[in-house]
Amino acid sequence: MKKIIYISIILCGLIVSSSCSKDQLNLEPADQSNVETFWSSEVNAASALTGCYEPLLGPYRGEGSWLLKLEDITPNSFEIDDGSGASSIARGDNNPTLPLINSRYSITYEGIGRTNTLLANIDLVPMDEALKKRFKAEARFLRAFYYHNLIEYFGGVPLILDPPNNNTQGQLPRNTKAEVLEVIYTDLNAAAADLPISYPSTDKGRITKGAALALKARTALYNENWTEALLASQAIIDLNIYDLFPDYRGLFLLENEGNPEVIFDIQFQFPEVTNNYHELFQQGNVFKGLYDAYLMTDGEPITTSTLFDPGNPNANRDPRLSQTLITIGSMFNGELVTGDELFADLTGFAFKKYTYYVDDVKRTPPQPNQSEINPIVIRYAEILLTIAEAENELNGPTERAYEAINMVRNRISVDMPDVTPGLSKEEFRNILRLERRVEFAGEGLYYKDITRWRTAETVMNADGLDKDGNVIEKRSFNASRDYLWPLPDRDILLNSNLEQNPGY
Amino acid sequence: MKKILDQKRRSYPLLKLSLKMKISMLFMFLVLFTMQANSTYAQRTKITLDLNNVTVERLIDEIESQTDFHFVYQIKEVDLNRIVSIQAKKELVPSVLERIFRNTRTTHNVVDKQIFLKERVTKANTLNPKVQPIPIKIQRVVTGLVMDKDGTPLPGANVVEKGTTNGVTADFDGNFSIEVANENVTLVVSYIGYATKEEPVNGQSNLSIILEESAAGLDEVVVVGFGTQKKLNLTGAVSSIDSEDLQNRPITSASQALQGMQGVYINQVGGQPGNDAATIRVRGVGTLNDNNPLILVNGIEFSINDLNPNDIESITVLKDAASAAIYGSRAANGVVLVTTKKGSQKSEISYSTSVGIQEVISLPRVVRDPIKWMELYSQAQLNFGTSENSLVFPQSLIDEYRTGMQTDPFTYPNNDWYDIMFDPAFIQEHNLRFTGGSDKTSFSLSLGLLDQNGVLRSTDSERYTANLNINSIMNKNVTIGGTFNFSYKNRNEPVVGISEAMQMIFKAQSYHPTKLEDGNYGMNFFDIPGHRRFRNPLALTDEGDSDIRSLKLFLNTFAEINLPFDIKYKINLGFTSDAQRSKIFTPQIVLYDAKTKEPTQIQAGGNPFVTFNGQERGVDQRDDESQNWTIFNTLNWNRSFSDDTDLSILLGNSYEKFDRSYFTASNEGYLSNNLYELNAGSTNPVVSGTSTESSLISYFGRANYVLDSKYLFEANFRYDGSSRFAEGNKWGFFPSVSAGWRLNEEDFLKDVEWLGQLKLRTSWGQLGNERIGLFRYLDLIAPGQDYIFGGSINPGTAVLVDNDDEISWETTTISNFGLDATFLGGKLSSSIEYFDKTTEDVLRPVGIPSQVGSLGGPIRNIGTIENKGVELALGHRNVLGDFRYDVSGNITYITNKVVNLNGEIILDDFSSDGRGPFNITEEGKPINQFYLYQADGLFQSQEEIDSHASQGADTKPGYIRFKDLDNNGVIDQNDRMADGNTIPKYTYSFNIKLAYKNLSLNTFWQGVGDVQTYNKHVSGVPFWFGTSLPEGYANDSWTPDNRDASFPIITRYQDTQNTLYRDSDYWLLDASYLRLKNIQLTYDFKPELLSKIGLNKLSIFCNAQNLLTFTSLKDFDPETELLGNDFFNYPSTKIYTLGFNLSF
Repeated sequence: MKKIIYISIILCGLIVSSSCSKDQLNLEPADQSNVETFWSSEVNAASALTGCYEPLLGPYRGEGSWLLKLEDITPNSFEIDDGSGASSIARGDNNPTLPLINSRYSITYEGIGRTNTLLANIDLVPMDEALKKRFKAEARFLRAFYYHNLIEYFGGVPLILDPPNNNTQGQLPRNTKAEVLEVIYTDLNAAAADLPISYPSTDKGRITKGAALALKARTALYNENWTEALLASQAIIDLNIYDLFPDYRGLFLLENEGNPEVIFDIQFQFPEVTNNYHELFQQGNVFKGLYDAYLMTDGEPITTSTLFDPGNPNANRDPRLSQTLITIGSMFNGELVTGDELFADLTGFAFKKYTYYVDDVKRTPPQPNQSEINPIVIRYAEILLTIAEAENELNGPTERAYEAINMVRNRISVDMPDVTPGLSKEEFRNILRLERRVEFAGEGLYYKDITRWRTAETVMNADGLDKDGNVIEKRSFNASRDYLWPLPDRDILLNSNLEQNPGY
Repeated sequence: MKKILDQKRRSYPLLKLSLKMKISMLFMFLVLFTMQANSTYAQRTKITLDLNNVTVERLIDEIESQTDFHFVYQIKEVDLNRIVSIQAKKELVPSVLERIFRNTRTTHNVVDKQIFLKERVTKANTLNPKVQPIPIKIQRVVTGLVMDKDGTPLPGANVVEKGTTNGVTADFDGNFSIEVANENVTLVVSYIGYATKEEPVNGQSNLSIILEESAAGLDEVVVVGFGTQKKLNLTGAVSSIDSEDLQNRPITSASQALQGMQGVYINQVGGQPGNDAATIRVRGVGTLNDNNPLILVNGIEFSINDLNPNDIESITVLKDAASAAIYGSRAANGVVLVTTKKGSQKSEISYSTSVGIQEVISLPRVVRDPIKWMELYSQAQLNFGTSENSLVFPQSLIDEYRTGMQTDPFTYPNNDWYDIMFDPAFIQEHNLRFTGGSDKTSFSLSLGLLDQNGVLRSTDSERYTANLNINSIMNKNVTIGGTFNFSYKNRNEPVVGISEAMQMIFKAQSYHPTKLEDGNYGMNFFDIPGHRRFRNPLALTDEGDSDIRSLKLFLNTFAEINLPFDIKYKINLGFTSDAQRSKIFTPQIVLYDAKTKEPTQIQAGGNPFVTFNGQERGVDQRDDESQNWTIFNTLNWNRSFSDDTDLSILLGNSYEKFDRSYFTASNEGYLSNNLYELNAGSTNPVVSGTSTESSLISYFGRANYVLDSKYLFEANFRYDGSSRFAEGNKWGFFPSVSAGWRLNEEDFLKDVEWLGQLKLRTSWGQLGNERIGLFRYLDLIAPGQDYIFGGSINPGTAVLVDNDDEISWETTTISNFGLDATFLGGKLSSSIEYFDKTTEDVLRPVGIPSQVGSLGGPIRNIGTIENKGVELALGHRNVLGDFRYDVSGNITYITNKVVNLNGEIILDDFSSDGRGPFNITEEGKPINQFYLYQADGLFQSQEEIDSHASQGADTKPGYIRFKDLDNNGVIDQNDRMADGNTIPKYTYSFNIKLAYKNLSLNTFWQGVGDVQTYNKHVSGVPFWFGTSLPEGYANDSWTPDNRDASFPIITRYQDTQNTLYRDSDYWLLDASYLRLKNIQLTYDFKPELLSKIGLNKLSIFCNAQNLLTFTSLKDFDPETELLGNDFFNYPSTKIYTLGFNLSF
């Protein structure tokens, strides 16, 4: 009897051991998909496309919002803690380890890799052909947008159009900016051809034909291809769905999201995807320079206008001033700003755009990092000013140029006088440049403006001042180096074929 | 030591126990044997036998199988091969025995179910003329007491008349009584762990024999893979400690117990209650992956820290490939074998307790005075070129503050935040153990409680443990047993976590208010750029709730069965379970401006917690679970060819499965700080979770051959299959061979008086490391890449990591040479080891350029890392009358070198500032150095700056001058180099034990050498974004009048982080130290006294842990996370305890 028991114990042991067959070593994850079988359904393809949009969020999220960080490298404002390195750049200490540099470079390539993967595989997916065409068009826009964000800061970069593969792509050298530009144009043309003008409400936030054209217009403008800029801008106008939003301040309020002026914005939604704009914008980092740049209601600068009252500098200013900046002596969130507020300790000026507050009513703010407002990447006013600028550069200040700039100045809530007729090309150019600075203040466009205009070496070699004229940040700009950013240190080390930009 | 009692008896379950237990059991039998037996079983058990021409051995088998009787005997004393025939019908066993052994040289005696066979000593053996009967002329009885040098009796010690097989064992009290041939014989007295002693009787009838502990424990048995091995016969490199070495020390996590073991580097970062496990590195850092050793508790993978240190019997570390190869694919970082305490037949209750106090060892030295701080802040701004008008602290504010401090400490506080946040903390420990059993079954049951408050506010932990161990001899062929261990721990810590809380304490300045007059949490009334959000540390620690509870279960059962042909089969089933629940309730706290009493406007809602957890007032709950299943089978065969030559072979297989899962949920929208369960919230509920499994199938074996007690050979293999690799790469083979030569057994050394043991050892073998993330060989598409369309979230997916399906094991090859020697009768012992440990095919994530879709790099088998080292141990012990001392120490020197990385350079950033690569690993250098500019003093003048390579626009006199390594005229990224060692080259420790009579003083010293660290965060740099100022800047920073300063000119870090505060070797800190880890004073009461009050043992002790530290690192305890660069871990503590232990 006992022997039987021992034998059964041994047998049990052996059975348990042998049941550990080699199949036990073949396990599969249950929370990720295998690449081999992924490209088989429309649902999967749609999720991969969503994955291509996702890298749009990174640069607009959290403390590192591109809107503000780029603004902080202009004479308009500064970065308080240099957390991203924007302040280092502004002070002339740009270097290849700054978080700002690293994040822009890596996140755009993340988007590029995803769009390349989608474009290379989507033909494997059995799905509605029209939808497939649209998916491809969306992806091509995104790829163009990501490349655009690279070349305008770093110059030529490795041009990669296939799915990520370290063996074939890891050591590729830089292409020229022109080579990349050509692909951007091709992608945008293809995207514009296949994208719808608008979407049903469930798809709001997807790329439209207008966005593709607008990005093309911007790319052309930045690269001084005036004709293309004009053609693309005109094509947008011809879509006949965009218009200036009458209320300039309201354009940036949560309740007016997706208004007819918005051509391309990044989608935020509480609680899943939120930002901290409400906090960040009202920190009080705006320099006196921007405050002073706003014209008087007579269209004259504060230095020459008879309307300017040094005792009440807020009075009779371009209405966009009070709709853009929080200033001492003005109303904000239902209260008079007295100067005791924390922001006033810094420069005395802060951005009002992208906060939840309006002037005359007290509102409940969102929790920090729980703001869900969409940052606007391209809006209709930019198209109008692109027309004005390109027209002036190409043909001088034509009637069309005047018409475009005046439309922006005549927005109902702005109502600035028309630009004086009969200006020279040079005079018109200066007016236009100021118009862009003021119209887009706090929207992150001015940095690219001063670099493409090559004025950065002048305006960025002037110190940033607070409301009383004290130096808050000493600025420095090296014209032989700073027009391009350095490629990240990490990438230079990992890819020996990458050539660093001069001076870094 | 000459073997007196022949242990090579036939297979017998009893003998599977450790030698100590064997002896004590034998002793028990002998005691019973000498007593009057009450053979009730014998008197009622009848047996039927019909055997013709069988051996005595076979007959014994037959009786054992039919009945519950056990035979106990020594082979020499029984002629097992004698052929007998017997017929019996329902006969009583003693009567059968009488028939068998009548007229032989063997007598029998039945004691309960034991049958003792013993040689007849009084009669000549008439049946076997080859054996010469010992002529007995005068019968003398010698009695005596065997004890150790402390006077503690040694029960079970063997006492044998020299030159004969006549022997007895001492009883519980160390007393023996032996009949000897004459008054001039010599007694040979031996006991495990003690040097054998020859004591001439010289006519005395009562002897007192004191045994010395044997040197280096060469007679000891150590636990090795799937068994035990006599230390004498070891050929591999093994370090071990047993429970006695750890007694009474306030070890709160068992991993700390390994500190001081030769070749093992233990680093315990901080003393947080319930979270103070130490990292264990065996012989250096061999891989870029997980460097933790494989830890097995009673053969089952389990965390050592989940055991009560008091339940540990011994810890063995297998350091070289020869000893570890039997664990194959997981053994490359060494194997730690933990054995828990077993029961004994002796019924005993023991209780030990200690109470104590913990206090912080060191904190950063910073400027505390608020006025001085503000003035220096202004100075820093002025130095940078800020105009007088733009100072953050204009003179008017400083004056206001100075005056205000006198009258209104709530608005103008002068707080000592260290004093507020840290306090000495209480610790207590109680352990109760019951042991007992019978000759067949023994058990040990223990209960433990560790209750520890933390030196940091709101940190504490309680741990409850229970351990039950049972062993039972079912019959002569089957032994079963099991260990059940239970551990429940409850830990509390600040809601924001330790790191964040510590950072905020370092950031808090004396002008930061705690609470205002009205009891509300305060906020400073002026603004400091960069530090605009004062997160009141008092609120951070006192408010909210972070509760971590973990329940760990360990279950291991085995059965050992004797099979024919002397084969022993053992099956082991193990199951461990780990369930941890952590719940964090983030409260809503408002800070009120010290002056205006306004809730602070910096953050809407004034919730200082929001930015940490990214959520509102709410609950975050996470449940982690893991289960491991282990089954292993072994077959063991042992054969002695002669007294000095034997061979043993082990074969086995195992299957292990690891299941892990977690589930998290969070909820927000709570109405008050008093509601903190998940279902009390209403907004933003989020859930997540996943599970993974992995498995390992293995076959393994070992052969041991000892020839003439001089030549030792061993070979091991393991063949492992892992689910972590792709088909084709799953299986790995890990062999090892080793040999030893016991020179002292050779004739030419046998007579060298001063030499004890002398053994040469060498080994070679290969081990593996498979510990990487799961499924790193598959290309996977990950979810969670979501985006909003139409106002709702859409699921997005993307490839995130570039995986490589070619990956397989890392392979570590270790060669080891060792020499062990003892001298002067064990008074002096020494051991030296040299090893070469080379890891090839190191698995590591490869960084790939962002242009490849910014994918996470693949894990690849790239690189070779080499650790070469020498370990040296010396010991000396002696007794001078009532005074005894024992000094021992060891030192390990290891050079770590990355031999090959395929030409690549690994850049990491282990710092918390996110400012790009800070750590570097490159070929020809040690792992994980710092990546630093090279400082060359301070600039003294503008001319010097102008003539030096350009360092940036605002470089000023008093800034650090960096070397232009590439001579390109610009200080740029290329001027950095690998610098500083984050792995100590030397680790050493020594014990000094002094004892006088019953009083003993033990000190344990431990240290590391040639190691550096770096502090680039708060309290390392001046005014890290408006926070603390290291004291050195106040006393000794550069000014035109103090050009020889040790600190550069004072500036704000935020202004100069890219110029002056580039990462440079100027700030490299020496982190080597020597520490008095433990000092213990113990008084053992005399057993004679104790027996009167019914106690077996009573000792009282006091103890100090980390009492003294010698280091040049003043601001932090040097036993810290060296790579971290921010030092926000829990402070290290000194612990003073007082306690006693007793048993009865």
